[in-house]
Amino acid sequence: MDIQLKRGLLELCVLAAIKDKDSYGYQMIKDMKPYVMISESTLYPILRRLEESDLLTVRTEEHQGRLRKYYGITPSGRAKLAAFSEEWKELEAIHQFIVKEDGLDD
Amino acid sequence: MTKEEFLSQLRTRLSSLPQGDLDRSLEFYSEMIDDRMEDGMSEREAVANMGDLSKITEQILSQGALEEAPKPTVDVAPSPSRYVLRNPWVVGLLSPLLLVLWAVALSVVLSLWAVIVAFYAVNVSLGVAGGALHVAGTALFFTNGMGSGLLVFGAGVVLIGLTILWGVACKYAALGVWQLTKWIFRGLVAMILRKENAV
Repeated sequence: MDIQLKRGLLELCVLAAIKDKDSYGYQMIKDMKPYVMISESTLYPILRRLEESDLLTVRTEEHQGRLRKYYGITPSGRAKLAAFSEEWKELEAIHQFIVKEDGLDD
Repeated sequence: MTKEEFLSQLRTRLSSLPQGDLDRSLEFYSEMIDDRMEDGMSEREAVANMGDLSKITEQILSQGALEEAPKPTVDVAPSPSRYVLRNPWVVGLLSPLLLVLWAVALSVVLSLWAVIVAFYAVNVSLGVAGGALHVAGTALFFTNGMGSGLLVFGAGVVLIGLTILWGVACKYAALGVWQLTKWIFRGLVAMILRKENAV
């Protein structure tokens, strides 16, 4: 898959993983696993980027005598997820057209 | 590899990062290993799960470079742009006014460049006069004696000095007028055409 496209989609997956409840890195990886495999080395830069773009916030909490970072979605993050759902409809239409052109849609 | 060994190697490999970024990366991986251990993995297993150190390093370091560069949205290559006419009705209705504006701008720009040409002409005359006084001074030195020779020669040196200073001033004046010319013509073009990114 095109690397920019994949990166963009993974960003959305991370936002989706925290849309209902704040979460931490390892939990996100586990939650996403049934849908998409993401490694720590991929997740880390995505979290940084989302934080810098103000799409998520980070807070540190103590957990069993150590510190753990929890990530929460911001209103802009939610707006981005909502926008994606709209964009997806357009993509779906484009996909339909492509498949039809190839004569695969029978 | 133990967690300590992993983090220490990661620290060494990421030593080029600013301290804040380095600490954040290490905290992230440390937390990840701890969480896996809490989930029942052994320390070595958890570390092995982090993947190849070189790959991790490469990803973190290349990310730094990516963030400095503008973030590409759709494609990496800049899309070609073209110029299109602004609202043709407006341009059409305003064309008499635009013509006048163009004429005025052209005359302003031409007069400014005429001033620059005059500046350079003065520069050339100063240089020529300075050179001539050098020659004359040298000749007078032998015919009319040291006093008048040195006086004229000195005047020549002063003129050459002025030529150099004037030349520098001319250069900056010309650069200024060049910038102004570009600015004026861009503005005039922008009144009629607008840039549009091709899809």
